[in-house]
Amino acid sequence: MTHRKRTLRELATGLGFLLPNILGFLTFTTIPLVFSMVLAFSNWDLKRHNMFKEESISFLGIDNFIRLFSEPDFWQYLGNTLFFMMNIPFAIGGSLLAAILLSKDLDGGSRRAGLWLFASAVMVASLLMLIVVGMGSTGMTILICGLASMFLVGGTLGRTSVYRTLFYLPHFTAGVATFILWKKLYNPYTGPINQALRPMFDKVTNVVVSTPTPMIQAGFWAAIAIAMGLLFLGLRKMANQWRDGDLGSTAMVVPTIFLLLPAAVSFYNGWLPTQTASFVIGISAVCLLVWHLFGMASSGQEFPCKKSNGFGSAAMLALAFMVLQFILIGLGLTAYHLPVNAAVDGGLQPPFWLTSVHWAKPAIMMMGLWGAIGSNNMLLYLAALTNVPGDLYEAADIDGASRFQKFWNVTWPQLAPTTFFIVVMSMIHGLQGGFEMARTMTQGGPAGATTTLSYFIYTEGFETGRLGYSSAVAWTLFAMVFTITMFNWKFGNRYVND
Amino acid sequence: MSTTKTYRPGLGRKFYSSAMLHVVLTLMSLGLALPFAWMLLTSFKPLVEVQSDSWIPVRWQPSNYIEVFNVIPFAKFYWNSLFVASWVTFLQVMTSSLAAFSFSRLQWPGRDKVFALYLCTMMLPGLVMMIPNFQIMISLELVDTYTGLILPAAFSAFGTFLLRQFMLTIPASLDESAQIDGASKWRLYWDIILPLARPGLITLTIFTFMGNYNSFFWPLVMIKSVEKYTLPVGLLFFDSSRGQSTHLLMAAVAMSVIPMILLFLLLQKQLVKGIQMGAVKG
Amino acid sequence: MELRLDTANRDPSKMIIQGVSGVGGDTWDVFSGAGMRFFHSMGLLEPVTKQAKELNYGLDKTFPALVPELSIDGEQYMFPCNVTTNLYWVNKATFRKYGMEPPSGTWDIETFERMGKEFTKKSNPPGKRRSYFITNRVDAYVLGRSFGTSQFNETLTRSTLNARGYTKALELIYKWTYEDHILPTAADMDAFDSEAGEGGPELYLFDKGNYATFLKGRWVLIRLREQQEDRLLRNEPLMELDVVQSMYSEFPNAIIATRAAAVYAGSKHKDLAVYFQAFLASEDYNMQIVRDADALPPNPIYMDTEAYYKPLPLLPNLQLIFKYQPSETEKISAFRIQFYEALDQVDRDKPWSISDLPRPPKPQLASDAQYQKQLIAFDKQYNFTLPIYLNEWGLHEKFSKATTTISVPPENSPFVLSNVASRMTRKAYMAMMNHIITPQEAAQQAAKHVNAEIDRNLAEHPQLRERYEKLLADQQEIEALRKAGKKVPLHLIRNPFHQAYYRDQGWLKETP
Repeated sequence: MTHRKRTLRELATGLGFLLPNILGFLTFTTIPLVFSMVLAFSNWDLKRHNMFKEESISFLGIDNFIRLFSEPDFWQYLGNTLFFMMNIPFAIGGSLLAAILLSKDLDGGSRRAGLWLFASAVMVASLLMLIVVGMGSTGMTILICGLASMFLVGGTLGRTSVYRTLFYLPHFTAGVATFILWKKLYNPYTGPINQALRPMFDKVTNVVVSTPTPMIQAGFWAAIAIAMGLLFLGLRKMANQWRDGDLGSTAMVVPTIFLLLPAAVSFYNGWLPTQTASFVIGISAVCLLVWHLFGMASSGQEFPCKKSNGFGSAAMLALAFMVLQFILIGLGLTAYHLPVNAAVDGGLQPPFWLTSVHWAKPAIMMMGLWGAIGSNNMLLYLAALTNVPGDLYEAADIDGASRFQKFWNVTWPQLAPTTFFIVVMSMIHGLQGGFEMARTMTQGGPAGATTTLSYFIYTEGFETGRLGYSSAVAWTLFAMVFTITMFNWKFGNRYVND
Repeated sequence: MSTTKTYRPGLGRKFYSSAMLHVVLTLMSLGLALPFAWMLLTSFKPLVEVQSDSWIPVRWQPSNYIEVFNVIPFAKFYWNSLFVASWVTFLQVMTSSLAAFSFSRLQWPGRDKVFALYLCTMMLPGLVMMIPNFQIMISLELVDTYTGLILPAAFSAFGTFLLRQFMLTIPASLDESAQIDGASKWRLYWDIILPLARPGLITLTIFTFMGNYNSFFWPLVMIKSVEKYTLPVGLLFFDSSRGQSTHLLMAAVAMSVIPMILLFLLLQKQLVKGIQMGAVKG
Repeated sequence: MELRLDTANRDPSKMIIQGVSGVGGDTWDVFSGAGMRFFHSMGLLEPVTKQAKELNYGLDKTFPALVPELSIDGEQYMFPCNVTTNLYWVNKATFRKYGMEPPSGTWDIETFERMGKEFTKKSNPPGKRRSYFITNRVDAYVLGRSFGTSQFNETLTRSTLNARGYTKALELIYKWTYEDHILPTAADMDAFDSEAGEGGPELYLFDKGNYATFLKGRWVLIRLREQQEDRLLRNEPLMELDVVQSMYSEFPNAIIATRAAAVYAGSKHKDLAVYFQAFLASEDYNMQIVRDADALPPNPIYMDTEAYYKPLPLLPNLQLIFKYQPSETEKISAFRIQFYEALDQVDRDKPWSISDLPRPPKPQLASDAQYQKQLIAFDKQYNFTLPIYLNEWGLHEKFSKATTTISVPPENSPFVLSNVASRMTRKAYMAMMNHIITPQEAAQQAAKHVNAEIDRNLAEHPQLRERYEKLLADQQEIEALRKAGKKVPLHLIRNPFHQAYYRDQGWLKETP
């Protein structure tokens, strides 16, 4: 009796605190949410069902979903969305690095005067350089040197606050202005990026033309070999962890898939220029996997552990390795085609960025990375870093730990709750992302290369009027986000609490 | 005392490492700030030079900044944005902290299930909720009002999640000692948890203010009369049928980021201070 | 009641969300007949046929070619704000620089290709990366039309992008871009991207001479005039502007398009909203468009004026010269009206001077001596920009000629939304430009996807079916007549392009 009473009172208190939030929530989120869920199973079409045209809405069951899954476009856009999400580890890494740098002691002991001297020296040096090299050279050099010395002086004066604000700058101009800006930066003919790249490409062209083709194409094979080496390393590391009981058997499945993905995708999509190359990459991936499984089976798990153990770090590592493999294969392909492209009249062309199917995604990702380094995540990390108890580092110092060891054994585990939050939010945003960008920058093009699922929802709903169908896309997306978040929650939380 | 290292006069190792750090930070700042610099420089160009190779204006035209005020009711938009963003920030931080307290420091049946539902609402893309939400706004007669902009943004699953994570890191022993002292839950929330969660609150304040200040789609759809436009919507005027006035747009954007920079400069110091205080107490 | 124009209020998603909820603005700024059909399909637009007759802004008051863009099934919904036809702008000086005769009036595809090769050969330094091109882009639709292929068949029931003409157009564009290198690679089909208003990078590259020509409507003159003024300030010679029609194979054509005002069906002030449309037909409004060069005036009769053929400079910024007080605003607006009325009446063939026209009023605070100085500054400023306008004399006729003779509106099928169809076509086009598919495949793919979308719409909207079946029967009749070598009666053909093309080819039996 008293127990029940207490439970009731607890419930009342808990809900009491929740009340202001939940009232608004029910009105502005839950009702639309339920509404759109119902719509996902209907044929609601703005062209037929609105206050000016009151035809009756009929329910289609799961027809919308069947159509969706049989539409090739959907799979392409899902692929795009996942591709963009490969940015996440780098974005998180970048913001962590920025946060670490920003949380360092910038005082230089009691030698602020010395720093002043140093900053002035740099300023004078850059001014001298301008007088010697400059004046005749472009305004760009002057601009960059001027800005750099300004920042440096500002930094020595105002210390971290100045850098912090500078780092956070991309975030202030978030929104449409940023997209307009980047669109101009990426313009293949007039944009500053290509203006800077063109002279570099001319030099590369000269080098390539004067080097024998097989030598350059050897670069391609080297890249493939390194990619396979990464696959090997990743698999071996996981096998070792498994043997030592740091990694459970179930938790290994997804990271292994991540690691094998680059080989599989390039084999399946026929990315590689020759049959031999496809064959080599396919066979070696399969061999490595078999060898790895065989090795594991023969040695057995020395220290048995829970099957789901250690998923978080293994997944992160595998993800990073996967992206690196993709980059390597991309570089290799570039190297392979280099001699042919350089031989064309006019030499190598800098990328056409947003109008090229192959470069549009990387361009958008670079923009994303630029925005991600000095982002909210950086602030979160900054807050978390200052929260790491200093005595932990002192203890590590006594143990004679190296800088990297200190980071890996002290900082990283202490940051785990923050990282967990950031990963969850990045996954959610990543899957839902790309709408504003596509709307203002690329209209989802070229040839659908930058259409993400959220832009697909937009075009279906507001350009085509099929709101029922676009709700179905949204709920499919919801199911994916939900699964991934639950996954994160289950494994990540455990990892956090380890 | 005798074990003290010999103090080398002049520039020590620490100086060099911090100088290196300055250089690295400057280079990174440069990379992150260059597009911003482009924006500033463009805002001083006449329109004919916007596309030109040179980042630096040939003819400086600072009158762009005055022109912005002549072309659109910029001051009004500015005020609207500040007004809406401030209210949203205040309300969101308040409701989120209450909810986060309930989710992190109180025990009640079904708590984690309700929290999971909260999280779930973040997982549906907002776009599909746009039209139902708009219908609700019509039935509440909130279309084309400031309230219509503020109210839906005042309740956020993200804020609740963020603050919950912050509050979870505060040691549970504090609750117990408060309980022994006979403090009510409200006292616990107001006197103990809130001050300790200050870094979280400040972080959320920054996030919410910036997010709302920059928000575009909802104000675009919600507001009909020009005098209630917020900045991001009002900037569409520079993209009119007479062509995009990039130079004016950039001048307007440059002016519109000032409050955010000020707010950030003000709060980021607090952020670090707050944490150190929390760390000592915790 | 005050009329408010809100240029930030034209976002389509905003119009849709507010529109379907019954709270849209009274007057809508609609960008094309395609937009009109989309909003109409939702029932959001009010027919204005009757009001247009009463207030004298019926379809007879605008370009005949625009009728399908402004009306659906005989009901008028819109009246144009400004009309546009894309032509190739030419800077004759760029051609002369390389010892070439600039194109004049028209060019067929052979001439275009020959001039393109000659220009790029002479302008690009050998062995270096190409940065000079004959033009910024070629409109695949217009080129396809010149081979007699439309987006849709005669009855608008099926996409015909896979027909010979469009395929040929894609092949040519691909060849010109990647084999002849006379077109830049980044060419995009997108005419209305976010930078379109500014003229975008194309305008800049045209000014610099990297593009010998570029494809835009007359409205870009607003920007070109600023560019010209910049040249005057820098003491550089002016661009010698001219326009050329799109390159053609057998049927020279251009696409006529318009921005237009429509009345929202849920408006509480429909009576007032139609007055705005009536204003668009007024002489005041039309002449303002003529003078500003903000595309073409809604009513073609205003193109037949001296003010159109031989433009003279607009008033400079009076405030900068005379420093009027805020209380003098009315005085200045009265002067403006008076000035432009007189300006439109100036006999261009006789010598005239700015001092013959009405003089700006004396500012309250200025002394007589100051005022005299200000007047001199005013005259100087006006005469300074005069060469820019004299330079344009002769090109405006070409715009009016192209718009009234060869322009055909875009084809819109009632069975597929134009924005969806063009998104699909664009996707195929960009896949071709990125070497993923061949031009033939791109044409096939575009047609296949558009037709699939038509089928999907027919399945989702059974009420369209009946009409579709009837039109299919008409289509069969047309094909039977064509096979038999007989002329086709006009009423069978719903596609405005095919009406024009059949008439041109002499395949049409005009029904009385």
